[in-house]
Amino acid sequence: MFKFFFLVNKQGQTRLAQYYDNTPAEERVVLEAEIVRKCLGRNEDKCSFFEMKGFNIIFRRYAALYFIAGVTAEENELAILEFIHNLVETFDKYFDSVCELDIMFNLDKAYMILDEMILDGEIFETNRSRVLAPVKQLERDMFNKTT
Amino acid sequence: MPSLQKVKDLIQQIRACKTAALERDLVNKECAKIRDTLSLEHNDIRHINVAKLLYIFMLGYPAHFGQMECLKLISSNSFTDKKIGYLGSSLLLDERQDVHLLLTNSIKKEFNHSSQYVVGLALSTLGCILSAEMGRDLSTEVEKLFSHKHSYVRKKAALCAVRIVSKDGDLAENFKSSVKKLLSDRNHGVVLGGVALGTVICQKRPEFLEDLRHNVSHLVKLMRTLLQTTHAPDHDVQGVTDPFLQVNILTFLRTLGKGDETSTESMNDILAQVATNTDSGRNVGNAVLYETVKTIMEIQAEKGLRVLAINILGRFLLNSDKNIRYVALNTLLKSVHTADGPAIQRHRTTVLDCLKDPDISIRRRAVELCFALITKDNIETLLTEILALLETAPEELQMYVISNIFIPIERYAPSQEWHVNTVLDLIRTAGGFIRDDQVSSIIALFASQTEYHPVISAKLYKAVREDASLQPVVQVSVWCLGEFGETLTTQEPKIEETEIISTLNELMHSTLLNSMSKVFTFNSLMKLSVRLKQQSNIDLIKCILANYTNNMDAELQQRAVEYSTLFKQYDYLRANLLEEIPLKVTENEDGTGEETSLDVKNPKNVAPAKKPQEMDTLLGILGPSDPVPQPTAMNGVDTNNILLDILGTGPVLPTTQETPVNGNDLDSLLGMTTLVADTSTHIPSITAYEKNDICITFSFEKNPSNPGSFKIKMQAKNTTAFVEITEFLFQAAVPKGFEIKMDQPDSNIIPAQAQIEQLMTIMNPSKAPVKMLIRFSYVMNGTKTEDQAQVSNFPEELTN
Repeated sequence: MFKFFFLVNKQGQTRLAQYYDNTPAEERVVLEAEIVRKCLGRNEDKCSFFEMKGFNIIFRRYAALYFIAGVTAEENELAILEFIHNLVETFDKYFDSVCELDIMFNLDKAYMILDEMILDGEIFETNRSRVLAPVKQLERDMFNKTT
Repeated sequence: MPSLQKVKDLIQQIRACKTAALERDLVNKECAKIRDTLSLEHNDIRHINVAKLLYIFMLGYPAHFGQMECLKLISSNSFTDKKIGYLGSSLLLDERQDVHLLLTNSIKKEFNHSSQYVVGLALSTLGCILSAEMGRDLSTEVEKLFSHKHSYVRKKAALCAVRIVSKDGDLAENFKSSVKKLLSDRNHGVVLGGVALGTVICQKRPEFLEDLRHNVSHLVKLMRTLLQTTHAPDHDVQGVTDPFLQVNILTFLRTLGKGDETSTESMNDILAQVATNTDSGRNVGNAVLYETVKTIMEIQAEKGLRVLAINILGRFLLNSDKNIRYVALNTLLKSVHTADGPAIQRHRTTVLDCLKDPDISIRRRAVELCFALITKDNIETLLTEILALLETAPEELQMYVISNIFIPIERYAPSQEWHVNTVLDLIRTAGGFIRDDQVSSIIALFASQTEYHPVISAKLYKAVREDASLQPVVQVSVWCLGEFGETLTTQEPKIEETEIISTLNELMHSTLLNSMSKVFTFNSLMKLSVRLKQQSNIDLIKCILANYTNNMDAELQQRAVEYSTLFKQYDYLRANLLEEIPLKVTENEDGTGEETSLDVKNPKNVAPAKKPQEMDTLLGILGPSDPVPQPTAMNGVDTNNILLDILGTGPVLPTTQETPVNGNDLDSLLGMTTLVADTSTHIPSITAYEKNDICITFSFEKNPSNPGSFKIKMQAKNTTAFVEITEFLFQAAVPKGFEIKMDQPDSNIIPAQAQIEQLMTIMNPSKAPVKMLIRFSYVMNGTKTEDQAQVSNFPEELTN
């Protein structure tokens, strides 16, 4: 089960963060900083998993963005790694070759996509077109409103 | 309408801030503006405000004042507003906030909305903020949505149910019958939800496991379909059909199959199929294989399958992807202590290769695994590799290796020579990390190897010359130099007696050593005063001692004064007092061969943590951390007083005068037994229980003032070689007419090969034959064991 999922850039700024275990807001900032420091400190030679405070951290780097997932110990690390890739592909499909700015300026959409893939800490949809269906619906809705 | 900048502009402004202080300023200003506009109750700008707040919140600033706005947005009719509202409430609210109770009603209303996406939104939000109470209110509504016409709603309802059950296990009953229905859905998202729901029910309510096991055959069928589908564009991830579903089904099968033979049997076949048919060329395939292996190892799968699983892990170790090597080592570590150990041995060389991995976490796991794989036959090869690793390893890893390496070395050493040389190598490479208790066992080892004394002293002398800043190395070295340092003067390259003494003197002056190491050095000098032959050197030692009689360090000063007195007033005793420590002969634990070792452990390591006051005085005589080994060759009883003086430390000195001088005291002093032996009749101790890695013995002591009562000292020993016992609880019951009083045990954790003690007092006024029922429980390797036994072989002396 996922404990949290967040996106951080190389400077350590959080770009998207979703928690599934009610971590208090003050702790989140500290936790994020700590994890990011660890992730940034790991070079190419090191593997993408490490243990911290009782849960496993799995991260994957895409250009300047780090996708970081915190999961419980029994979770399959390799599958999570694959899931991160799946998520990035979904972002890619929606934003058309996604970059950090896309996510920053369309935070609500990015959240929506993430929420369509993980709910309550469980992966529940990995099919790209089905994930994007409600987001597209939202766009149509906005379009109708403006016209 | 107040002019309000767009979300985009705010983000840009925040990004343009050069320092954290500027950013904080800007955010505070913006928050103030938002607060102002909130009070205007303007519907068109509400969603902009909330969107801004979300961004601000993500940066780590408080934004909880926007909670009510979210609720208002939810009740709006526009999908966009609703979306932001729900997103806001799922982030800004959590189950501890009171506001969310207001949400319950609007969510309930939303469940009947015509748009599937609106229902979906409500369900997602409910999942995020659900409390146990809300779960109870809404569980029936959620269950109804399991049969919603849109799969989009069904899958979200399933996950919402997962959350409800995980908050309140009692509600599992409502959902357990629905699992089957969810699993038969055509949409993979719904099936995933069903699997998650099943798993959480099993966790929360293990009594429902039996019910849920009916689904095994269906899950197996599902797995088979997934395996056989070659082309499914909807679910294909790099050539594997929905790997996420496969992984989750495998996890669920693991939960269901654990401890149940029938379901395990029905799974064996499909697990073998997955293991053989999944393409291991890419990460996806490996993820599925990894999950399969985990399942095989945890359920009681047939032997062939387990070997297959271990071989898959062996292949993983050869993989070029470090992540895969990492998970393989992790999984192997979990199963190395089970019956699969021999199968893992076959991959030893691959594991050894991982010791050279650039990633430290992989190296660390490889070392752990190596320790578990050490046997009599392979210790030499494995240790060579581990020592090579130690040369380059970072401190953290060195520390780990050092604290774990001595037990296997001692257990499996092929020859004494190898043993001594390996330990010397370890001292050279990572000596600084040796623990205090290990220092004493190394000393015991070196002392016992009489024929290697010249080699040992030469190497340790060199070590101390090269680097005299590591306390453990200095302690071991100077102890050995004191005990058999004279061997240096007779072997090549020859070292002069004066040189040894000046080296030790330098150590005394060193600022890098702590007082403990200096006390070691002091004792060593003292011992050399009888080992070395030239009178001039002995005078030199006297001189060095005299320098410290007014040292700032109380401990050193006291030693110096004591030893100087020894020189002056009791010089005739010096040679006897400082004789070589005799070797203690002990039986090896498995009874093969005899091994000599010396009891030089510090009293603090041997004595239990809690002990009655009267023992303190006796043990106190030895000093809290006295490294001086106890001389045993005594010429007469009248020397005891002096001896006690010498060994004593400051604060306890007065008590030593009052200590009655008799043989018994000396015995307990030297043997460091923890009970004060003042009984004149000796009562033999008994073994009350010996089975399953635990040995419980009783020793007795009669109370002379009250003949009807006696004390029992229970000693529970952990006879395993490596495994620690935790949560040890001992209970005893006596027949009617007896009375029993139990003291606290000194610990409830028994490390391997160690023991704990507990005192009991038995009142037996009728002097009936003693009987006792004992019961105890403990946790070992994560499993709890309980046992009981009747003890009736109490010695007759107790009732006389």
